[in-house]
Amino acid sequence: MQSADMIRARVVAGAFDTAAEEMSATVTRTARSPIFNEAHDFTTGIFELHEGKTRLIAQAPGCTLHLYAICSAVQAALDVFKNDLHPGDIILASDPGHGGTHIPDHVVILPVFADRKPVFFPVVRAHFADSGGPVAGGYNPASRDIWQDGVVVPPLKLYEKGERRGDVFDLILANNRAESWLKGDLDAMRGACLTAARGIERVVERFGLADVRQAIDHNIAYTERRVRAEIAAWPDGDYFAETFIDHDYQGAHDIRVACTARVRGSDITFDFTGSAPQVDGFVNSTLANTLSFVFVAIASCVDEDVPINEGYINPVKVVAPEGTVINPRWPKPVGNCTCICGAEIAEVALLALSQCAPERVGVNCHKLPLAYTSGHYADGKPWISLNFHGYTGGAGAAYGTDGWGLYPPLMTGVILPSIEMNEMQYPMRIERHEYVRDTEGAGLWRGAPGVGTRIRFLAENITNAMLAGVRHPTRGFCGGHDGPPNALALTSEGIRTAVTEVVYNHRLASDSTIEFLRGGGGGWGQPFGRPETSVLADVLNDYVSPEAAHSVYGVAINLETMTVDEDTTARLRSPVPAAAQ
Amino acid sequence: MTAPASQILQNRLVALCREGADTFRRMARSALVIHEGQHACAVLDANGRLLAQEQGEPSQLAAVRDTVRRLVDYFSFNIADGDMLLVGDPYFGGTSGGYLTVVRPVQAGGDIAFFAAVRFAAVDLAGNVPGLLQPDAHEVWQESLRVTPVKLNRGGNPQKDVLRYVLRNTRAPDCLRGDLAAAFAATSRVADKIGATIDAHGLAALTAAAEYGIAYARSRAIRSLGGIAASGQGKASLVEDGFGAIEVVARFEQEGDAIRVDLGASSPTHNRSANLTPSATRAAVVAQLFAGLLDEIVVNEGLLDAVTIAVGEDRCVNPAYPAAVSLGWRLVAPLVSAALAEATGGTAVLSAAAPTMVVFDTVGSRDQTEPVQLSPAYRPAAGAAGGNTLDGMRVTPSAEELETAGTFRLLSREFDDHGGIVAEVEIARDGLEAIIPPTGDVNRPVVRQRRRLTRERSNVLDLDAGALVTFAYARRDLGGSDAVR
Repeated sequence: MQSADMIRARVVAGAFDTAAEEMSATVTRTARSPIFNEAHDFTTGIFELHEGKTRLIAQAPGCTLHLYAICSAVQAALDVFKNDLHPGDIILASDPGHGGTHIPDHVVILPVFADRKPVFFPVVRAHFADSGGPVAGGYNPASRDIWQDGVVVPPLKLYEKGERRGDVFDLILANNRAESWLKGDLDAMRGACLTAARGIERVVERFGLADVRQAIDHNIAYTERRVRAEIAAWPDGDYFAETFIDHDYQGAHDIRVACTARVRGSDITFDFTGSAPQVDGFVNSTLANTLSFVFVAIASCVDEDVPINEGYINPVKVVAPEGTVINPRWPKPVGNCTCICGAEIAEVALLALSQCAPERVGVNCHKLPLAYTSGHYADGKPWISLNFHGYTGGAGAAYGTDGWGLYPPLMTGVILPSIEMNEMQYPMRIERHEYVRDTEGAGLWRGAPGVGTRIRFLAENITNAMLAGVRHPTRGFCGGHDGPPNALALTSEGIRTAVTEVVYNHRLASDSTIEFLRGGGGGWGQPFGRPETSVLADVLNDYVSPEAAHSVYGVAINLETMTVDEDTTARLRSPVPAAAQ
Repeated sequence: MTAPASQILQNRLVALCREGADTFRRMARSALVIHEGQHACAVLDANGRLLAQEQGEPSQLAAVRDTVRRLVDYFSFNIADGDMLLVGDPYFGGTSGGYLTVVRPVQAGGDIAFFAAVRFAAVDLAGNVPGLLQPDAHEVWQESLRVTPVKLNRGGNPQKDVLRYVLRNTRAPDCLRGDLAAAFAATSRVADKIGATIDAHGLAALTAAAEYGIAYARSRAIRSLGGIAASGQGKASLVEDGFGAIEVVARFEQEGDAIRVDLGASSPTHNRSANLTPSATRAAVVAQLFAGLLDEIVVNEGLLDAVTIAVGEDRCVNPAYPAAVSLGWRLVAPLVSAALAEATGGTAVLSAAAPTMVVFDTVGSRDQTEPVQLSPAYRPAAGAAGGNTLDGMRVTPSAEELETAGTFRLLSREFDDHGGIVAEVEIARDGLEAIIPPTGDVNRPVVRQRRRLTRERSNVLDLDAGALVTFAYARRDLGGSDAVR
């Protein structure tokens, strides 16, 4: 490729990236739901129709777990409408059976025409505050089929040739408790797509479609080369790992997720053969979700400057036997799959990769103490809070870095809403949100400490709470310790209920509280190797107690001077206990 | 136009509705249509006024009219020839979730002149548990998909994405697809025949006949109440396990041609699903006041509007959105009937609901499941053969029919010493679950089986092959209910 072509490719890539980022900014600034405008639980991307298939060409930083799911959903939607697309059409979809993950995550797609054909598709994928069905908020721990998860939205046109289909629009709104939010959010998603369309049209006008497509080919090939180079650096072999889902909320426990990572040159296959059969509860993962979390795992092992596009996906193959927990048959419920078992899918993929690329894996953390709450404002309109602050923190360590904290689960990229805004938007007060001592997974590099959160509700509400990561907490890597378990408790009218697995449609009185302990991230490498100064800093920061420094890290602290007791530490650390090697 | 000529044309409309209802019933797949008669076929004018209707049972009485009237407003000037409209929303003129109305406009003289409509109960439309009865629901979204007015065909073009959306949100898509096709066929047949009637007799004659029919029905309805006191008040209440108290207070007043029923002092919106929508409330009132006329005169605007009904706001007879409503007809309609009976010095015509068990494949076990509303007999009455005539087209299933699918065995069905009926059904296979909706009295089905009937974290019954279910049907002429007072 000539240098002029390379430069043009980068300019085109930059233009598409900019368009995707403009979409993201548009959603943030115009959406009505706090889940969009505060928590940023959405992702924007741009696709190109290439030889009958869609391919991802640009994506703005967003909710990471949407990364691959957005691809499957777009393909499924365009399969339906491929011969019936017109300028100005807007397609809405959320169908777990056709490229979707869990029902709350909807995609909005706009076809952009070039040379009189639909070529580009700006897309927003976002988590709706509600999706109808038996419970407000879209997570129904009692769910045993897809309809108990919520209302399925197969691909349908909200706008046709630029004109809103009023009856279809109202149909969608009627099946959503948060109608007033949804109206604004759908407009925001459409507005973002229209914004991107203008940017795309400018690029095509400037360079011509043929050159733009050539540039896209080049960019995708570049990403693929970079990802393949990374994989090629890993030794060929089969690397097996397994992990377990605590339970399915319906009585099944210790649900196995098994994975063999097969590295062959610059190709890698993740084979989930051996995973448990599909379960009754709503922790089954759709194929799109499984692919998405595999992609999350791979993405966390590759240099972050590699552009995200179809090239990322090409070297990766996934084998997901049908009828298992990682690829269930219709109509098994999947409502919690973006938390559980998505967390386990990423975890097991990373555990497998830790055997061939130990210095690339880490930052594992997604097992959530999930509790969400709904009620009504004084004017009768509903509010639904996903209580994001309760899930915050607990990123795992990676080679060369401690887990960083006070962000939501690392694998999503959701932004922590501001406490002030939350307290304005919901009848709640966040009374506690802080690190808790000795709740990190120890290691040469330690996980972020766990976070304790207490939310007090100022109004009567209904809360569903579901606990995960207790029997099988977040795993550490390469000798690093696992993170400690999560915990969850509800207190209403003086009665405290510690959640062991699940609490369903629990009525909480005004002045009730939810207390979360988000367990910390897992460690990387054995903790006796952690520099003494780092352990001392952790003690001084109150992340680690002197007792734990002594017993877990082999570092003795002089409590009077708050310095490392070198002699005792040397004795403790020499020889390194076998278990810690 | 002479009165006999008007009567002939009016009867023509009635015949069209009967033909449409019959066409639909013969083609439909929903067991709720075939066995329970939960359907109706109607002809309405361009303003949504009911001209004639044939219904399978009385809960449908006012719903088609109320739905189509609002549909006309909703689409306003956006209804065209070739449109096929669909609606099924308790808060849009309906009675309960899962009851769908298919409406086809009929053109005459370059404008919409009539609507042909078929209304029916789908066997399932998502919701918390399979089927349409949702005892645990407290919001409308927990009961079913809400189908607000939408075009299934636009100018003759199928809106495939809308149909796909509806079919994706039922546990029985093949069944619903069949029912919708049957409704299309039935409404088209009625529409075609309306067109033929207009061609033969002219639009003006048909319109005049319809007006004549409305006036006649109204006049007959008012005259039928001539013998009762000018005013009165009645109350009826029940306490159902886990449901809290429900009370209906009815005030009846009659002055000349003006008949007024005020239910506004009834208990507030129920916190579970025991609520009647205004349309269902009207059906209960009309059924109670004019039961004797339902087989004699045309069900039309004249009959439905012969009585003015006040329901107040935020009442169990007019619940505040988004309250659940699926048990309203079973629990609240008999109270409306009993309260009005007391107010008018008559007898309640709607007895407590028949004991029923909704049986379905284990939730999540199959890609399609058609819940069965099992009720193997009826509430008898002394000196009367068969069930309540108000049950309309409900059919008592034969033993053979029950046993055909290999799911049930009817072990016995006989009168008891008190003139009631007791039936015993054996569950013939594994893999079934069930709910038992309340009846408003003590006559709930009783299940006996070896295995524990309830499972932890489940809101349904876990049936065992060999489980025995006893259905006891108390006599309806003895009140039919111990709880309705």
